[in-house]
Amino acid sequence: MIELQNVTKLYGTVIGVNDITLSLAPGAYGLVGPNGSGKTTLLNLITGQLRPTIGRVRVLGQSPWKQDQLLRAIGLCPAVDVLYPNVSALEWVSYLVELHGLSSAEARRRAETALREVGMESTMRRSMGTYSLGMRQRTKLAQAFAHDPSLLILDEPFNGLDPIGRHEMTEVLRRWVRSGRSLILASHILHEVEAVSPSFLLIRGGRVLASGPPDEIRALLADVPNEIRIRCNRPRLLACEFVESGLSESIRFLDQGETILVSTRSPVAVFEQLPHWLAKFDLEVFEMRSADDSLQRLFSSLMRIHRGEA
Amino acid sequence: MWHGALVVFRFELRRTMTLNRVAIWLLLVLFPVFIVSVMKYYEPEIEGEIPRDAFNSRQVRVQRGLAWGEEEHDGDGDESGPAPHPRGSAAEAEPNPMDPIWGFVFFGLIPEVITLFGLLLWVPPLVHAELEGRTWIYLAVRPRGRVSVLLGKYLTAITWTALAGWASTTACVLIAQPGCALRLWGTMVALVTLACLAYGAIYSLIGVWLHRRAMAIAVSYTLIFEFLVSFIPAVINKFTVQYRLRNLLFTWMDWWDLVPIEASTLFLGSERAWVHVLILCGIVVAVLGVAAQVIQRREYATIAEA
Repeated sequence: MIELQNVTKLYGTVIGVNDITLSLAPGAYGLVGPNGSGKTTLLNLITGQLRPTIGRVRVLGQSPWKQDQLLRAIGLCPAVDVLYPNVSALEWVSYLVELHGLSSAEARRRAETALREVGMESTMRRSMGTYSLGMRQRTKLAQAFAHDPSLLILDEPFNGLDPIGRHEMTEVLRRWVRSGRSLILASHILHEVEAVSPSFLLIRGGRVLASGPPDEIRALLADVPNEIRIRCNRPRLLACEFVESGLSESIRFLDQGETILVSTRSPVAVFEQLPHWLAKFDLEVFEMRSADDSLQRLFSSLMRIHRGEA
Repeated sequence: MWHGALVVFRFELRRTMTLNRVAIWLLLVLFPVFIVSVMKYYEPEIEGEIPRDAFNSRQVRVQRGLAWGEEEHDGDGDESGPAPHPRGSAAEAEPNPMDPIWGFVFFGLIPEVITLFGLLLWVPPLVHAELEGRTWIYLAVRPRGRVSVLLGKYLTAITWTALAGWASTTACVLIAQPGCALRLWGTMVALVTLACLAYGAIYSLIGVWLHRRAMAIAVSYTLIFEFLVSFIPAVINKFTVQYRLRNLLFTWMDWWDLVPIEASTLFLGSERAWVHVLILCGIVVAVLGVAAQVIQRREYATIAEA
């Protein structure tokens, strides 16, 4: 469905995406990465809004930059907010669907159906200037799939939605995936993507760091050391215990020796052993930060793997 | 592509029906009307100020028994002089010494001011307004969406401006009541239409090519190229739209004899009207063609990305 071959995009001297090579079969994918990681640039390359500086992009076998008729098969919900204050959602979505070459009546019918599907039935005739951020998000989503594309690309579609709205949108997208059509969902929030897409692409610094289902990525991370930061009253003693127990890969002293940063491949064993040491040596722990499963940690670990440091 | 252009045209035209935009439209219509009304009020004084031999006018020529196209000074068919021009209809019109005054005022106010202002408001920001409003990407991801935006907005701008120009011309002619009212009205309507088409195309190219500074560049282009260069007595003035419109005014109004032959050689041309119209149409097609290529191949980063 999508093929990128050594694709690099430069904005002057700034790298948007950096030497990405990937091949995606039809299906649903989550594009996950922190803000500024290159997600939007990658989506713009896929939709033909940007031309790669180096490399080749193919979508459904064609170059999206050269063949803009390809856009009939693609629906895009960009991250940027939209506001035509004096235009209703129905008028706007009909207008955009009509640009796909459909008649006015057919475009209006499809726009109504799409807006109903995202829960805008009662408000679709109101001017967009009166909409909340969540209503605008729903309208944006409706315009992306109203013309019935085979590939739907969504960039941060859950921004501004309340929990109920998020749940409803997730259901809409699940239905889309179940219908057998393709989806690329870009977000910086992992669990949002996980709820819809069975497969991830993790991107940071313009590079795809990992791809595959969550289990594969967890397996990839299994050998990556966790870091635990502990501030206590006797840091040197605790460091000695870590070394003697063989649980640590490395130990660093921080904050003028008041804090230790322990790198370990056995975090569970460390958390089991730590209470015993606290009791035995009468240690007072003021602060402990464990490596968690946050996106930041995930990306830090992947970057280390990518750089060959882990 | 044309389907898309018409869709954009319809959508944009509907969006113009706001209080602000209608007020601007009315302002454009009423500005020449106001000037002409003031002039009409002082018409007797203005007419009294015109020296009897100010123009080598039709009336003077008729009194001297000269035919149109027949040169008084040498009559040897000098190539540098204007070509013979269509004649007939004006010969029957009632001569009025104020007619050329009204004609020049109308020309200066309507095709040259109203049209340019109207188009400047609409056309140069055609891409930048979408980028700034963050609506560009929604349009650009449609098949031929970029070109549809260009042509649709161009059509909207020229319709909006031409309607203002035509309405203003009609009101001005009704107020001024020149001797050749119908002919002057027809000429002005045609000139407004051609000015809208040509300037609209040029501003479109500026708007898609240099979109970040489009307004400033369009204004500079107009002041320097269309107003200054068009009066430079050299071949370069033939490249301006202003030169073509000026020639058409003189040709269609049969006013060649109003200026000395030397001046007409320097500032006007000897081409026939259809040549000017053809060149203007050529400019429209060529410039819009280039603009379409530019908009299709340009990477427009959104404001956020930039």
